[in-house]
Amino acid sequence: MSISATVLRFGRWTNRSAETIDREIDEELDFHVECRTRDLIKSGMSPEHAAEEASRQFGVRDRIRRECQTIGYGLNVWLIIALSGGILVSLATIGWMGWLLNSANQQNQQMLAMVNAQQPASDPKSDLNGEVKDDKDQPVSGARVLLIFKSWPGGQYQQESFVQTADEKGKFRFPELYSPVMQNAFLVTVLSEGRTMQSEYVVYKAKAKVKPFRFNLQTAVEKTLIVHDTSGKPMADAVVFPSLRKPAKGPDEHMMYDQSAEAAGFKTDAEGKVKMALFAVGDAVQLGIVGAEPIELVIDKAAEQKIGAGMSAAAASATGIHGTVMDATGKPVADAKVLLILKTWPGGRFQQQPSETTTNAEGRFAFPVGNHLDGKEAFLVTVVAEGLAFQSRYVMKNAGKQTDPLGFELSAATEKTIVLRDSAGKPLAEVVVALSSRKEDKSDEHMIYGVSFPSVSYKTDSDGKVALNFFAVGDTAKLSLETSEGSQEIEFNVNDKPEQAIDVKKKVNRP
Amino acid sequence: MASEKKTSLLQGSLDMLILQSLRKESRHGYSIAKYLKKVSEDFLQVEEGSLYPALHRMERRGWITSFWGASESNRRAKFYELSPEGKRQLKTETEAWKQMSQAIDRVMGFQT
Repeated sequence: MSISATVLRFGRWTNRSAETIDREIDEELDFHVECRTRDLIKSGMSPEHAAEEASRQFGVRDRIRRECQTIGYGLNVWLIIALSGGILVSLATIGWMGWLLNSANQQNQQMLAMVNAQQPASDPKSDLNGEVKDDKDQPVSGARVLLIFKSWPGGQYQQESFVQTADEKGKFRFPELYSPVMQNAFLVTVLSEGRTMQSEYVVYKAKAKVKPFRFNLQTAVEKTLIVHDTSGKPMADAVVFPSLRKPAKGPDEHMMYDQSAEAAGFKTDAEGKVKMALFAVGDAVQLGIVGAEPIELVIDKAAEQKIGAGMSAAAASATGIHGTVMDATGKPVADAKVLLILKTWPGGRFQQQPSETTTNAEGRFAFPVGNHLDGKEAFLVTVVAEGLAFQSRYVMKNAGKQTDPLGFELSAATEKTIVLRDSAGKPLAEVVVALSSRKEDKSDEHMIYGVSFPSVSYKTDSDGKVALNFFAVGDTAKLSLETSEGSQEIEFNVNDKPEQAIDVKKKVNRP
Repeated sequence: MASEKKTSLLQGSLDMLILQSLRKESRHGYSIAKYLKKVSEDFLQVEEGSLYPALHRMERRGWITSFWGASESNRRAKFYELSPEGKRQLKTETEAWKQMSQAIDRVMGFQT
């Protein structure tokens, strides 16, 4: 690793606030437990037992969290420890005598706190308060305040959502919300038209003093977003919400959970338009859509901005990623499948977008996405056509440049029937086989990402046979096998015989 | 001493397995754990207590990068992806593993 890369990485890590690190760790671990719970429910367990079992399987959450925090805080922590070391040693010596005198009393208090923590139902609840002001320190009345409240009553994770409106003095209050003797976490998001969306996430340990939340909202740009679906049609009457806002400068991230979507109160009109004056120019934004994939965009200066699947990195370019597909004789290949994986970094955040199209009668293809001048990009384009050996091209492009049209020249594939057999020599019938990769002698590997497998999947017949006319003789081929019992990858060298038996030695995996 | 070696071997192999699981596509932590369990025919059950610290450590080392995206259930999730450094590390660890495995096989008489 180069010194500059190390410095950059260190800078990136140290630039993130402890609050952001804590929040992300919590969210990541919560997501894992939720997934496990869902799987257990699917396997027939009751929701209550599933939640309990998922938490049990997860292990000691606090320890995992602490380990991740230690790694996340990294050098910052060690630097602080080193600087504080001398002071701590001095203080420790003085404090030791006092500690001896008070330890018995403290132990009693700790015991009492532990007992209290086991009895959350009887705890008096405290209010959560806060204040919303603008960049001139004037109160913002009428701001919507969305709260995600996390708690762990009896050791079980619990998440609830609430909404309030700031009063004429910009103040808000969630009455009798939390038990101060227990650990609590709060994500408070503030939305006020004409001002930037802001949020703050804080975790308080048991018995910690919860401070009032204070927000100073900046001026936002007036924006009309025109939301399109994957087919390019406007999405009418869609509930949309700002799920993430990352300002162009600084480490802050402001977010809103899906649970608060309805309370956010944004809906597209018949033309897919929605007014949203919550962002500043240059913000990287993730827009959640109820019932659809979220959309990522960077806020530009225009009053209206078209967004949608495949337009996520920036406004769609007139050029996009495009090219031609020919066979070895120079004839255009029509109806070839063209699979695209587009990787972009809007606002410094990585995102990956799969797309698919087909070539026209002239062998041309064009995606409405990618090949933008204004950002770094990487994309994998794979072309698959019956009777031709499939090819892929991986391109990395820096900001300020555009890629020339991609020219594919596909050579003829050998006519091939693959016969899949299990370890006992029996045919593997009704197995779904996806093209995964092929490597020609002394050349790069042509790849297809797993997300594109549904487009390049074929099924064996009752004799375990499947025609796969996509490889050249001498290729090292990889296929992904998917059965009702699981999936696995197999690799083989393509010979010159019309029929080739593959022994799938490994037992097909169980899910 | 023996237990130290065992721990170090297991930790090394976990990194390699995580890198391998990200070789072709981005995955979130839960998906990595499921993938390793599935392809190893339920033999490898990565504990969450090891998985998440390992992911964060590997990200810190620059072997993997992360991004927040939408999960299969349309829930916000943290995805990990192999970096160019991670690809190199995977190659190094794979070679080292092969050599070790072959050496053990020779000692045990599994290989002529």
